[in-house]
Amino acid sequence: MGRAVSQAVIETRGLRKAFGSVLALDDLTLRVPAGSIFGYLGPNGAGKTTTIRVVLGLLRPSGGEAYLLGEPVTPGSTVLSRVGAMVERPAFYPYLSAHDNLLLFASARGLAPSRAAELSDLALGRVELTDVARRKVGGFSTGMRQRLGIALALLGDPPLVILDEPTAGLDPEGMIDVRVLISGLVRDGTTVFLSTHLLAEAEQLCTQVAVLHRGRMVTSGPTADLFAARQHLWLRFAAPTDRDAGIRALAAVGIAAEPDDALSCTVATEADGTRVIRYLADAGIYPAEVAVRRPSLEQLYIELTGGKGSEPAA
Amino acid sequence: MIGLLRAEWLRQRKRRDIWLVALALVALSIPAYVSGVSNALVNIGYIPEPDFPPDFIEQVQEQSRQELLRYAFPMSIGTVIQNGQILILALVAYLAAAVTGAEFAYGTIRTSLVAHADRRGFLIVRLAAMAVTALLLIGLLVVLGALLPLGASLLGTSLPEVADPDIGGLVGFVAVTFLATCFVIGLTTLWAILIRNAAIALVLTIAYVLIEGAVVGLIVRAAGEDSVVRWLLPVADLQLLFGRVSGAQMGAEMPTLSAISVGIAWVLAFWAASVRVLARADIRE
Repeated sequence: MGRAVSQAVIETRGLRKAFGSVLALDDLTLRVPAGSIFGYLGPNGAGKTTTIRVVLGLLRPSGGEAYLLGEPVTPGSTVLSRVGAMVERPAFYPYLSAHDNLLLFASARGLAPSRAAELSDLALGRVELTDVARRKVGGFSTGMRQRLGIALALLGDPPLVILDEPTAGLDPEGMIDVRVLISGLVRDGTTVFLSTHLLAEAEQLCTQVAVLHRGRMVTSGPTADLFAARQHLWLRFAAPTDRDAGIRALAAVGIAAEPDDALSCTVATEADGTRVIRYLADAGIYPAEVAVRRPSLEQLYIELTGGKGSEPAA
Repeated sequence: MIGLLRAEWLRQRKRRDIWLVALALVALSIPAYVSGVSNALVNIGYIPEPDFPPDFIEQVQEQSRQELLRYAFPMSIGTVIQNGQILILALVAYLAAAVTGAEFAYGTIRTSLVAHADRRGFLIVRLAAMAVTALLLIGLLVVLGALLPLGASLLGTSLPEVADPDIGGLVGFVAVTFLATCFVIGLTTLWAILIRNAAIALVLTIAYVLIEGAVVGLIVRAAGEDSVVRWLLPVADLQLLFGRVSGAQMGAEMPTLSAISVGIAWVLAFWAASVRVLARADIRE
């Protein structure tokens, strides 16, 4: 779609949001590059939804600035009309059909009736709700509402889609469908900001992640870099004596290796695997098995957040 | 703005309670009219005790004839609106509380403001749409007021002809009723946005009317019956206007034009306050 990769579609600088004495966001600086699937991770109450609400102009920040597509966000900003969003559990008028709900919100965005109807049908088709388009939303299951929320966010193909827990309430098949849909969006040039606590989902989909904990950013960057910085070399030897000899040989050239069990050890991340093998070979020690291991996003997340939940935030 | 109006039209016309409110207005106005006509006819046909003075009997029958005139076209329109006045205000208060309160209850305020971020525009269109709905409800009473005498004559009831209808008074009655509904819409919407709960908003609107009545009582006690100050309060001002269009001699010290200006100022103040509160609110729903 020709968007500059370096351009930030969401940017916050020193963002703060307090609810009374509770600080939900504290000096949050975030940059979401265009064309990415940006995973916004954090335990319940970390401030993920508060961030989204501030960025969408639903909440006024207590301090700092937020920008969308390069424009400052304030309640009423026109830039918001170019963003598709699903915030928390999707809310619709229960007495209206799925089609009428989308039609209503498309009309509110200023689309002409025929265009609004066309885009509503298209969006319902993308989330496979065409068959129930004329049914009242009041009778929809959680999963159907979730799909409708995604349809609303996709209405009119906005350049930025913000999805807050999009797969919550979906069955496994539905989750896969949504993930495929999200991947497709990015191929078409859309940036997806995905707030989730489903780490497997983030690991599978996201090119960039940020981890939020108690309203503060813990880490942020390309998903691959986060893992690369924490990957390690795992070595297994045929005998415990080989393992001990290997650890000693590596220590002699300044490479620290930590024993895991009687037969295996782990070499710190920075070490170059080829060099490690060569040093061992020079010492006449040959590992039986070598593997580059990286922590799962779950392990990384627990490591970064201390594995604890947050103070409740909005 | 046109898009917002289209959205509001879709949102409101599919609300079942709006149609129920319209139905309730019709259902309650017809028996009130029938009962009023019946009472007037019974009084005209009243045969008094023989020892009653003839001029007293004549006076009673003249009063009944005048009463019956209220049910003849076009005065029937004013009568139907007057009978339905409290009802229409209560139903409009309900609608204002329900329509705005539901946005917070369903959480659709969030979806609406993400779809259309201009909160001022959103609420101005919402208030205007509710005012139009109120106007349509008043229009329904006007139509009913015009049709009921026709229905009565078709059923064989003979209603007198109104020789000199007070059309200006009728228009004034419709206008004041509309002004009152606009005030109720503004007041109830403001509560609904502040409290974010339809039922409590409705209760607070009723409470406001009662509290203002008490304040008016205090003003009268402190400053006397002739004090203009009490007419500066919205409910009292609307009561004054209703009195004027009904021909009652009340609030002589406050000119009608001033009373209309006070009423419009209060409507604008409550509408503006609602818009301002929503524009500055944190949407946490």
